Amino acid sequence: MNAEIDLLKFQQSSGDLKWLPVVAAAFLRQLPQWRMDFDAALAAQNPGHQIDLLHKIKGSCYAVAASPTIEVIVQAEAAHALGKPLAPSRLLRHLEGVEAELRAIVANAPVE
Amino acid sequence: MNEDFVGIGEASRILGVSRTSLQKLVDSGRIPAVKTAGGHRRLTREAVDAVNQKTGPKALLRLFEPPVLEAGARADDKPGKLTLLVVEDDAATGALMASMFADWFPSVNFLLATDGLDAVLMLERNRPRILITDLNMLPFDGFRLLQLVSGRPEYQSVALVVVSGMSEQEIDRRGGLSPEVLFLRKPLDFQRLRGFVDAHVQIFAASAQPAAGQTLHAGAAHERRN
Repeated sequence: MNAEIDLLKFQQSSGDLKWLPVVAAAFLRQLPQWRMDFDAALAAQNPGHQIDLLHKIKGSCYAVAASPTIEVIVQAEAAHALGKPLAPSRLLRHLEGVEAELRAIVANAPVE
Repeated sequence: MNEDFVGIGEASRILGVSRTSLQKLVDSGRIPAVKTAGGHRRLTREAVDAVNQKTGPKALLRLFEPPVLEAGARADDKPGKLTLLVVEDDAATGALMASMFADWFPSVNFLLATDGLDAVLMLERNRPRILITDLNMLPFDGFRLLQLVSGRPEYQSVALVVVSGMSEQEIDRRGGLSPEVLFLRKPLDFQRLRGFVDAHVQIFAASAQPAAGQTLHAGAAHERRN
């Protein structure tokens, strides 16, 4: 199984891994709200809102280098552009993996 | 019964968040609180513990709070320094930028706004030299912000940067960007952004030096006269 957080990519793009726990903590703070909003958008069958949320989540995934999740979102956006309905189960599974890895990163970070 | 309640200060130490953040949680009803006869807020220890459990390890919240200033705050902690305003509603990206800029440019006044409206208030009070903004934000997006900034003569000297993952078609559909705006696509090339800011920091420093020289010169003239 591949890692959800691409540490090498984070280091390459930001220049230093030392910032990852800070960014991870910010990501985790947003996650419950996204889940609620996404559930609501799915229940309301509102594709426009679903895509807006995916765009937001993708932006945050870039910040923590959650590469596999970004790929899933890009595929979902492409499917949406072709008029296909969103299948969220894969995305939610990836987000669970992202959450677990980020929690571990935060928990193991040196406390300032 | 006093031991069942904690004040805002103690709760902020337990949770590792700022008093302001905690106050917001209380005001939004996410942490139940009671008011004393003197008007002070008291939180139940049980509620504080529950929040602590829910958010995972204490380290999660203790680590770092990005330096988000309240809307309208003044960047006067480093007077005479270049001010940089970032407008970003995504907390993770905002935290990353805050950490990087604090590390790379310790002398720069860094401000973070979470939407265009926050940014307008900060612009008015702080007159930043550089404005870095996302586009897709609610309720006040980056397009409206840029339109406002471009249309006001007092902001003509502000260097404008857009960071967004929005497609070019979508940007065009929503009115496009003017040529003076530097557009950087997400995922962001942080080294390019760093170079851009560095150039402005150097220009700012160079432009500040002749003024200092003039002051010295004027001082010398004053000394000669006396």
